[in-house]
Amino acid sequence: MMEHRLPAQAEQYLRDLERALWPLGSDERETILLELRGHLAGCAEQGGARVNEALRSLGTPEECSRAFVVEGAGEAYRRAGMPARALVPLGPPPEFSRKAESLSIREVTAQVLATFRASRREYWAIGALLLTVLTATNFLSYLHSLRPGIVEDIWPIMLIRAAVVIAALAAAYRASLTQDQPVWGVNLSTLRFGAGLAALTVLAVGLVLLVVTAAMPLLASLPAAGAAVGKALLVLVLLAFCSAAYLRLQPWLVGLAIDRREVTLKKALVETRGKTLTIVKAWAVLVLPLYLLHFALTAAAMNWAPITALHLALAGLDGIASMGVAIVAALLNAAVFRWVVREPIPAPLPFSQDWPSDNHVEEARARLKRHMEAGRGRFAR
Amino acid sequence: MDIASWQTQLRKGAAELVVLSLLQRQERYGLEILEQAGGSGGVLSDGTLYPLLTRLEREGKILARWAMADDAKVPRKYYRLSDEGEAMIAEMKKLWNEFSAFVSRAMEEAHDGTPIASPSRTISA
Repeated sequence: MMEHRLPAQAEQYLRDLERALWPLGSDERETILLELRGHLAGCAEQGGARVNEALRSLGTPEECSRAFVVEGAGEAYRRAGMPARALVPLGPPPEFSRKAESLSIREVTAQVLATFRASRREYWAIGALLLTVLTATNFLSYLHSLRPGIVEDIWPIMLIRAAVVIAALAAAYRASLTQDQPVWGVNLSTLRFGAGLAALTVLAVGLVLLVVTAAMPLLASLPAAGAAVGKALLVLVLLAFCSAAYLRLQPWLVGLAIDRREVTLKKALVETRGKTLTIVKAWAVLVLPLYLLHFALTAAAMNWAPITALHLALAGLDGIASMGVAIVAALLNAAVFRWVVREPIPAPLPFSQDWPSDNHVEEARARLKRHMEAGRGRFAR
Repeated sequence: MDIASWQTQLRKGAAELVVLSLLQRQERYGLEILEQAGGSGGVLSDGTLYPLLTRLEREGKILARWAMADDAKVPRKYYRLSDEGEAMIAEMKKLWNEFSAFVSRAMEEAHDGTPIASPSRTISA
């Protein structure tokens, strides 16, 4: 009955069409695929030539999908007050290859953009919160350094800044990777994520300090210039090592934030094996420039005394750069998380809540079969 | 406008009329509609039928239900006219008859220079 297989080219066509129908909601997609499966099965009974004729007439999967969109398919779009055809030029979300362990920057960037497009709308509020808090704390830190007496103690302010960034990152992961978890609010997952992040940071800083301290006797035996260069090189190598390890452990941290604790520390390390270069390259291209801009703006502000209105502008610019660091890093980490756990990126919201899996059609058919067997009397002609 | 584009526009307008007419007589599924339409002069094809059915269903002109026929290997989606579709096809047929009569007359009478009555003038008369 529904296990009936179509000729290979028809099966392939439906698989390709399933992907091409990405702008539609899953219900619409299922319905169209089921109906066309029935149509092609009917054609197959009339012979292979009729199947080929039907496939020719349907056009390429993209043309067929476009025909449905042009005729107004896309209920989710309409509910969102947007025409479905507006999204079609964007193309379907890219997929991480299940085999490839190395991806180009372009492919990773596409993943990051698709992750953003598939994220919930709260992402904008997360960006606004970060921008506000980072700008304010930047300016307060300038005041602390350049106008002593106004802001006596900077540590409480920096602690608040860190807490907001941690909460915002946790919220960003929930907005990108979950549909049912509340984005806002500090819960146990947020606390676990914050603790994990703090532990990794302390570990990395501790390791750098420990190794540099241990190497001091050796460095001291060198000429002064050589010792300075050696120390700088050592710190750089350690930072690079810690950063790579830190990036590889991000899926674990993301898992803590969204309560997906099956992604353990070990699993994060194992699953990112072979992907490190891709992840580090992506971070260097997408995040590092913003980091450098942040450091440059901070250095400029701190060396520009006395404090003026310009510092407010610098604080704002730095706020934008720092927010960019947090947002882009969060999107990259979310994309890497999906790569590690081998979950596809859904179609952009609000157009679809889920991206069909490989056996999507079979699942839909099985569901319909159960449904129909339960009420065969009602369905009989 | 080239001839192919003009033909496409003609077919597009007629396809809805053909589908609704076929469903007026009885409930049918997609392939059955195509077969009943015969060659349909290229008005209907595998590629144009299903998007059209989707739109007509969304607009409430036709109703659909899934059923598993005894001879079928996969479930079929059967369509029938809604009350709105019934009213619409009656009006569409009337307009089509007037329109096609007008166009035929226009093509015949154009040769001898006789003024052609428009469909709206014919209706009001």
